[in-house]
Amino acid sequence: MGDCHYLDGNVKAEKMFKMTQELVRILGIDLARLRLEWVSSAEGGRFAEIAREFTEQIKSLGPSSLKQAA
Amino acid sequence: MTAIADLINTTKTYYCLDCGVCTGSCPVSRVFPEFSPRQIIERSLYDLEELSDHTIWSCLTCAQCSVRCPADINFPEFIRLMREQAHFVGFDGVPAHNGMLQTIMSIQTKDVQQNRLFWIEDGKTKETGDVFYFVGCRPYFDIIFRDIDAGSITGAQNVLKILNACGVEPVVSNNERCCGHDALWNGNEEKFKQLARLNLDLISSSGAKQVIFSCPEGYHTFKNFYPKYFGELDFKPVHILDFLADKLNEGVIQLEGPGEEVVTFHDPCRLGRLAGIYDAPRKILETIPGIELKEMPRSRENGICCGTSGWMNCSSCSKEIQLQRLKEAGDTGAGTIITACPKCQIHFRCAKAAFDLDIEITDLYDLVADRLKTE
Ligand code: SF4
Ligand code: SF4
Repeated sequence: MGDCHYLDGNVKAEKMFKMTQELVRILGIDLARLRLEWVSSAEGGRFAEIAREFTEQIKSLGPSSLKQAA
Repeated sequence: MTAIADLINTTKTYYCLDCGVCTGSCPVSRVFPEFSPRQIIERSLYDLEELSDHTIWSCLTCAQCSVRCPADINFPEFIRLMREQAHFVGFDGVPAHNGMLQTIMSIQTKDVQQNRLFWIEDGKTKETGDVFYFVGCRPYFDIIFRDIDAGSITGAQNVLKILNACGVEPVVSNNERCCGHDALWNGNEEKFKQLARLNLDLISSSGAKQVIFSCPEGYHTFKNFYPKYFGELDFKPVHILDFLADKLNEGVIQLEGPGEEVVTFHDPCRLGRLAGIYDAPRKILETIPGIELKEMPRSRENGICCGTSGWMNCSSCSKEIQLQRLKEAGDTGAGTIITACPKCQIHFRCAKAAFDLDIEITDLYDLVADRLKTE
């Protein structure tokens, strides 16, 4: 943390992420649909790996209830 | 006929006398001269107004103009209908907080199982019963506005404490939805109707005959807009302030000291001008020993709006309105400004933090809960 190209960008991002997590929880949406990972611009391989793995995770959860009409 | 000409007929704005009382009364026009209700009406009457006019989204719909209009023109309703048309063809206001609150409202139109009752600690509630407590969006506000210490959820906890002290164990529900107030005033009638339908079904399944509100917007929306769209309600919407004033009158609950305190009361526009509740909060404040109420010059029917509404078009003009209001409150000699609306609370606390002002901002329910006499 603090080791961010945009100074305190990651500190702000983490704060925003925690708030979003709480909102997602009370909205009744599965928390597994939300994730925060730190990847620098020099870590292309790691980025691809995380994106692939997270996509798999979302696929295995199936469509969310938000897709259905009220 | 154009869409605007059509709504001139619906709202009878052709009776406008061009007197300018609306613009002269408007808190927005004072800080944002480009916005003029009189000119919006005039342009509409001469077929010069466009749905793309961005100033239509700056109106607070606070009804300061309409209560003074000699021709009895309901400008907020005119604006609401105009926004509906504008939204329909793709124009919208500028959502505050990057549209987060509008997204939360949209999600609630879906089949979601919310967990919004996390705030209940030791309060007594039921799953079905005669009285429903409609909490409103406080659980969401509590999370979003924690950094300005908005205390939104404390208000709900205290309302429950007060209800329990009055011998009421209300129904509260995880399936409650946003009342749709903001969708309505954002010009999104479809979203409003979806939310309202879900709330009506929920209340009907709870068996409640009375629905208690501590949020002026929810109360006003249920009381005045739900029947317009869905016919007569099969329950009675009750504002907690009226309920509480009655209970104090009957001696069911008593309030106590400690200490002397000078306070002033800010009439939320939805509570005062739109729902007509002016006396109940004052009666309650009078009942608290040691509390002295000093009125601001602009109070009751002349009370100024808290500066932004519908989570939209929050700007430096909103901040200016809030700053002026908090200064007005401080000038009465009061150390605390009391409000009775979770949004007034958020807007004033935001301005207090931004300008580093020295005034306390308190929700009336927090004050009452704090002063409840326990045997
Ligand atoms: S106060 Fe009423 S009559 Fe006067 S200009 Fe405004 S809308 Fe027209
Ligand atoms: S409703 Fe309020 S903000 Fe809108 S024009 Fe009237 S006085 Fe101004």
